[in-house]
Amino acid sequence: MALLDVNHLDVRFALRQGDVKALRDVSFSLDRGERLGIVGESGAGKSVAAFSLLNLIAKPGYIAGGSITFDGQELTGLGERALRKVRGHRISMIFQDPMMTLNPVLSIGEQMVECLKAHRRISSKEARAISLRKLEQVQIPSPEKRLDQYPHELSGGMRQRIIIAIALLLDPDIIIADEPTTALDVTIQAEIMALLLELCEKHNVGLILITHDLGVVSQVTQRMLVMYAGRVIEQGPTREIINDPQHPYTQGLINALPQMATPGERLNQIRGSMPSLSQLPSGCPFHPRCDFTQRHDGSERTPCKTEVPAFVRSGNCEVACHMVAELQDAERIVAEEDNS
Amino acid sequence: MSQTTQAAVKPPTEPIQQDGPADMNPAAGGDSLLEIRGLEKRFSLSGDFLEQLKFRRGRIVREQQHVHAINGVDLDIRRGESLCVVGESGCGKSTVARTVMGLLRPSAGEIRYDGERIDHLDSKALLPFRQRMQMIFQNPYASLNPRMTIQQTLEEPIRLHHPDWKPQQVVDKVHEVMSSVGIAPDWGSRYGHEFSGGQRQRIAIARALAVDPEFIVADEPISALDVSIQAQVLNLLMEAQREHHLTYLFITHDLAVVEHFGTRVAVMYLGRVCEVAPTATLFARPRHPYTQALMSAIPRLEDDRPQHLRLQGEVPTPVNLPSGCVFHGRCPHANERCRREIPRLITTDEGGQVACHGVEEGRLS
Amino acid sequence: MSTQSIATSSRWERFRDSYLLYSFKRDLIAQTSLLIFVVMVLAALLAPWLAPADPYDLAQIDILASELPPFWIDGADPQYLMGTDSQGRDLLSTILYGMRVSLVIGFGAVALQATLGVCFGLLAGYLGGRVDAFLMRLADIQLSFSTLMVAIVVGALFKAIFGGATYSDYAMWLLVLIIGLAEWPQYARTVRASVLAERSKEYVDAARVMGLRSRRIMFRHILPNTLSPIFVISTVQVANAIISEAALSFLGLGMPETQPSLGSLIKSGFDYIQSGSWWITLIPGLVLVVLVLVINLLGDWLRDVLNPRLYKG
Repeated sequence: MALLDVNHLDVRFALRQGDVKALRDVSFSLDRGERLGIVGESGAGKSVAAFSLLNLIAKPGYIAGGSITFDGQELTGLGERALRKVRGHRISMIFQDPMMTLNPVLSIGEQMVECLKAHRRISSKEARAISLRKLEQVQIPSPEKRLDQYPHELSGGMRQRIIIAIALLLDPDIIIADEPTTALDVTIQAEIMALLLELCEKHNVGLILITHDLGVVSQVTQRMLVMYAGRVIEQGPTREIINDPQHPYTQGLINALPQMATPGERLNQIRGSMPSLSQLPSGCPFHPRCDFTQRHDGSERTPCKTEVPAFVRSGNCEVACHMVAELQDAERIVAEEDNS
Repeated sequence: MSQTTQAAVKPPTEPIQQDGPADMNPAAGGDSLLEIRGLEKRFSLSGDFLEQLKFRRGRIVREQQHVHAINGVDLDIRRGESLCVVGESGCGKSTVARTVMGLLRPSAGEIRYDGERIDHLDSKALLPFRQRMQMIFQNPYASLNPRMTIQQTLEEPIRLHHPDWKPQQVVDKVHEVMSSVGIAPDWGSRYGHEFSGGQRQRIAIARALAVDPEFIVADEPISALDVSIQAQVLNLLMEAQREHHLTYLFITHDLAVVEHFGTRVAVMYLGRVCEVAPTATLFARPRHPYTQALMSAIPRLEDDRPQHLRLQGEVPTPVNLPSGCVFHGRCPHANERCRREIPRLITTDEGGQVACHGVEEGRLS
Repeated sequence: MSTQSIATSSRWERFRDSYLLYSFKRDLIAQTSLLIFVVMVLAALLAPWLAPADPYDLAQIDILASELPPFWIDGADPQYLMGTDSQGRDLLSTILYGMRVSLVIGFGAVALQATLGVCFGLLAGYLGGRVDAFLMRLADIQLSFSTLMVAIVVGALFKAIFGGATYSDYAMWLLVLIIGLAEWPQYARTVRASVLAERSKEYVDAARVMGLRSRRIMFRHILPNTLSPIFVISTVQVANAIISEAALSFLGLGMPETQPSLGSLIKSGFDYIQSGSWWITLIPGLVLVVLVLVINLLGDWLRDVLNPRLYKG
């Protein structure tokens, strides 16, 4: 059984126009030490997915259905107290903006010691020693000095290292990183990603990496989910999806990258834009932008507009697409006819 | 910042060890649309006059601290090309764009547009140039006035630059530019907030195109957009270039975009240009150690692991610039000369220019 | 392109779907306040038709009928619903007329403050530098004089130069001027702060790149985007101006007793409070409190609604 199991998760936001379904029927799992990427554009629901794992969704949002099982324990409907034992302790989080996590009026050392003492019964001296060791792990120059510095005295890259050190403080089983390097410069981003990867491998920590950058996902993760309009539309081993995407959206996303086109030529763009979650199209959420809603013979593939596609297996991946399902059916029929 | 206390009065201009503009390599000869020579821009950190007065050792002294956003930039933009300026935050690339557009006054240096000096003109004398040069901004959510409809937004520049046009002509022009960027003209009576980010950026492009400019400065026009929308906007910009024979100054931090979009690339670091080269040359053989590090840091789809060159330390603040080469603190190849002397741009045999002692001496390939 | 519907909504439809109306419909306090405020303003505006008597008409005043109590007390004359004051004027009529004076001064003064403050705030925020420093120091100096002091000085000067009779004729406009001049810095500061925030947004840069003149950028682009805070402080300022006027009149520096405002009514009755005629002070006092209260409540609600940090999407 996987360490973390998310099944048919539904998250909604109660707004005055009515409920907005931010996540619908999201299922995935994470094994111990596994690195999973969640990819999608803004509004796809990738951050909501991460936040709902620890029940951190803000007020109008609520979990409307589904289950989240962590290490055999059901997390949905768990009280605040019990959740706190998991949060930060066994699952910790890294946010995009380090200043969101760091308290500007406390020194780095104070924050780390406080965090340790909240979860473990140890002396301040021990806590400080552990903090120092963690800072060494994230390769911060002169860690002793950093303990007494305040967040504003450090550069962006350094702060993100501190955040990683804090995330590792209690030796968690899983780290959820929500766009951890988006606010950083390219060279710093590369270093932080490399560090995160190295630490996760060394300490056998699971990683859920939320990002819009396919390059980062391909470098760091083993498996990935592609999300669109609150749904998972494709999931499987990262390499397989990057090399041979099945879903038209994933294909479009990869083909739209400048490196996939000849310099100076037109880029392969996806038409239109992501629908707003309150005005989702019927059927497959991607169908208004999809180039494959017609079959090769020109006939309309009607289920695209009427039915939400179910997952079909393709290699080691799962894809929610009517076209892929139809093609597979056709192949199977051909194969059966050949056999008989 | 710990250095602030001992930062005494900085001399207003730092002697830049670079020969005057005359020595610059006018590689392109006469077809430069825009020439930037020795451009510098400092921002005061010290507030107004009263706040600058400090009491030191029994005397009142005036102290000023500056951010050195750009320190002696020379660039030529040739007619019809897309010059991409890349660099990390704080390298001064946006300041270059804003100074070129007259949104900021340079502290020193010259900007010539089509042979005429424009950096010291007042807004009235600048007006004819305003029609020829336009700008597209980074944040599509802030670059449209929330209280104006799209029609009003687009009509404004046309009316300003063509006061003699009849109302119908103006409306026709607005409809023309709206359709050219793929926004249905009957959406004109809507407000900016009713559109998605990508659509807003299209409208911002339409506003720039409305006065038929020949030169467009685009300051990170796609970095606030989603991946699938970025491709749409880049395509639109390239189409517009073909149709209207535009010249672009394209500011970005994304090298993948540069490789696709740029004719030439200028790499900036801490307010200086470290390398300028035709795109293909730069990507085939980056010469400056910083360019090499920057290129290795792009996460590529083919990679299974991060493959970047490791740099020491982090970008220094532009308040107290390092002496010598601005990159020496992080450069793996820095030697004594790099710490002392500011390198100047030298022309390489491949047609690019590099500011690096290592390359000049032949230490680095 | 996406499948957005092309139909554009009219102004009325926009208003109907707006957050403003939505929150108003759910806020009982705002509804009640608005109702009371509208009733009071209407009553004041329609005073010449609503009031049983004209307090400015000396022929209608019967000195023998002075200090009559309101109707629910023994000895009341049913002709005077709220009783009469010390000069025998019908109190209800006097209050209606007085409310009119108070409201005119309140709104007039705020209009003046807003005009001055918005112009100075825009200039200071947009031009910055020396202009900003000069105007803001001017605002600091202005704020260090209390309204009361300005009123005493200006009022005394005016009376000394033009005499008491002229003063009575122009008292209302003089008060508008005094309160208007005394409080413009409130506007200037608020406007300057929001201009600074707006000026750093890219649409202002876009307007500059286009080549627009500063004046057009200030009034056409920036000002419309600073209207929300101007709107909010306007409500508070109207209430403040009404109170300032009442305070000045109470001290004898405001409206003369021949054309009383709520403040001068309170003052004129104050001398009789000991002799048992409490209603001459108390009823106009209550009216003043209710008027100021509902304006402030409306202002609170408006601030909550227009604060972009409290509502999003």
